Amino acid sequence: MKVADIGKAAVNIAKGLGVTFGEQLKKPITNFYPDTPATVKDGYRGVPVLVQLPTGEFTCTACMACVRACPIGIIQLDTVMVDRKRAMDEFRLEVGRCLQCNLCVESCNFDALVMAPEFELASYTREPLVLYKNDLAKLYAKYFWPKEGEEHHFPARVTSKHHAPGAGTGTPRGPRAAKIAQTGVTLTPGGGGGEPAGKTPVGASVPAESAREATGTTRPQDTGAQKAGEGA
Amino acid sequence: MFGIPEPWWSVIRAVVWALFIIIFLAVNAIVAVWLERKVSGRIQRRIGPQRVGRPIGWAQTIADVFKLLVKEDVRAEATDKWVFLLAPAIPFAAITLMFLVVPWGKNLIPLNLNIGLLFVVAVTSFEVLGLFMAGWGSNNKWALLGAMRTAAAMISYELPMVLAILAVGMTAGSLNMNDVVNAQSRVPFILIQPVAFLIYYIASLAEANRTPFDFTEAESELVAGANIEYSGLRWAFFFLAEYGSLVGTSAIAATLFLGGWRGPILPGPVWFLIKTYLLVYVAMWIRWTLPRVRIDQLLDFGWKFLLPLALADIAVTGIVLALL
Ligand code: SF4
Ligand code: SF4
Repeated sequence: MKVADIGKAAVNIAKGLGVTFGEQLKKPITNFYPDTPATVKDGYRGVPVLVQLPTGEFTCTACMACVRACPIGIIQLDTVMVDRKRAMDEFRLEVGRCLQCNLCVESCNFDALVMAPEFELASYTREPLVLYKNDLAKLYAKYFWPKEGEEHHFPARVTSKHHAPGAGTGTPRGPRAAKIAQTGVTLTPGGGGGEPAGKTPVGASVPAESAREATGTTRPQDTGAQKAGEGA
Repeated sequence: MFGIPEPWWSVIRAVVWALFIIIFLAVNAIVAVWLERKVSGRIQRRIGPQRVGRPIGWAQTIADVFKLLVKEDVRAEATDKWVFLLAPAIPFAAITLMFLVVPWGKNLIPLNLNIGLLFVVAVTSFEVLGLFMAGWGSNNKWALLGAMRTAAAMISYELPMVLAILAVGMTAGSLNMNDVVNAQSRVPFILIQPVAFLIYYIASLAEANRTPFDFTEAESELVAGANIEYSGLRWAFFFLAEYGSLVGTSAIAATLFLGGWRGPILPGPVWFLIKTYLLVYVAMWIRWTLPRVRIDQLLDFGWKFLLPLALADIAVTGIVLALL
C-alpha cells in the first residue's frame, strides 16, 4: 500500500460522498402506487384483448391466426357458422401463462386483437386468470372505448412493423419463418411448431355447438365449480 | 441531599443513571434504525418507511421491536449452551458501561472517573468478546468466520483508536472526560488534532462494525456473520448493541473532538445530542456510499497506515507540547 494510493482513495471517497449527498437533496422518484394510480408507458403489453365495438360487435373473424401464433397455446377459439360463414363463438385466453410476447396481436390481420395496458391481474387462484371473450371485451372497453362525446377510433396496434426495419413487407422474417414457409409447416398451439399445415389444433376449430353435443362436456365457465372459484 | 442519607443517595443516583442509559440506548436503537432507513432511502432516491406512522414512518421500528419480541427464541441442539445464551448480553453491557463516563452537560456525568478515557477504551474491548462468544457458541462455520474476522478487525483498529484518544489526552492534559470537555472551551479539538479525529473516526467505524468495515455482518459473504444463529430477542440485543456502539463511538468522538456539550444558547445535553447524531448521520452517509473493503485490505490499512500515522501524531503532539 503506497501513500499515494491512499491519497487517491481519499479523493475518490470524497467524490463518492459528494455524489450520495447530492442524491439526498433531490426529490425521491417513488411512486405511491396503490394510493395514486400508476401509469405505464405507451406500448405497454398487459393483456391481449378482443376489440369490441360500442355496438357490441366483435371484429374478430375467427381466422385462427392468433391461435396458431401463440407459442404456448393459451388461446382457444370456438367457432359457429353464421349465415354459412365461420364466426367466433367463444374466445379463451389463459392470461396467467401469457408471455406478453405480442405474437398474437401481430398475427391478427384484422386488428381484432390489441394489447391493453392492464396490469392489476393478481388473484389467489388460477381461475380468474382465464379470460373469455366478454372479460376481454370488458378490458377493451375499459381502456379503449370513447368517453362521452368522443368518436371511437381503434387503438394503434403496436407491432414489430413499427420498430423492426424491413418488417411488415410481407416476406417471411427471420430464419425460422423462412424455414416454415419452405416446408409448409405451421405453428400449432402447445406443439413444437412442427406439425403439417392443415391439421387444425385439437378442440379449436370444431364448431362449438357440435363439439358440445358430441362430447357432452360444457365449457368450464358454465359449471358451478368454476362459478365458485370465481366468486372466491 | 433532599434529606436522604448519603449511601442511599448514591444508590438512587446509580439506579436512575443506569435506567436512563439503558432507556436511552433502547430509544436510540429505534431512532437510529429509522434514521438509517430514511437516509439510505434518500441516498437511493427512495423515501424509506412511510406507511406505519404516516407520513414519515415513525412507528416502523417500533412495530419491528414488537415483531422481535414475539418471535420464538430458537437454539440449535449442537450449540454450546451457556456461551450461546450469554453472548448477546455482553456487547450490550459493554456499550452501557461506555456511557458511564460520557458527560451530558456541566456536572451531568454518571461517573466522574479520573481515567475516563482509559475506561472507555477498556470497556469497548468487551464487545469483541461477546461477538466471538456468539460465533464460537453457535457451532456454525459462517458464524465462526464472522466472529474471527470481527475479532481481527476490532483488535487491529483498537490500537490506532487508543493512540488517537491518547493524543487528545495529551492535548487536554488529563484523562478525565470533564477536563477534556473543559479544555475545549475555546477551540474544539477537531481543529487542533484533525489527524487524531480522522484516525479515531475511521477506527470507530471499524469498532462499531459499520460499512466499509462491517465484517461482523457481511451479509453478502457470511449471510449474517456472528449472529446468524440468533433469533428474536437475543438477536435484538445484538442489534441494540450495534446501534448502541454506533451512537457510543459517535458520542465519544463528539466529546473528545467537537467540544462535547459545549455550545452557545442551547442547553448542554441538546448540544451533545446534536453533535452525536451529526456524527451518526455521517457514519450512515458513509455506509450507503462505500462498499465493504476486503479483510486483508482492512488489516493492511490498520497496521501499515493508521497505526504509524497515529504514532507519528503522538510524537508530533509530544514535541509541540514540549516546545510550548
Ligand atoms: S401475447 Fe404471446 S403468449 Fe400471450 S396470448 Fe399472445 S401470443 Fe400467446
Ligand atoms: S387473429 Fe384476430 S381475427 Fe383471427 S381469430 Fe385471432 S383475434 Fe380473431
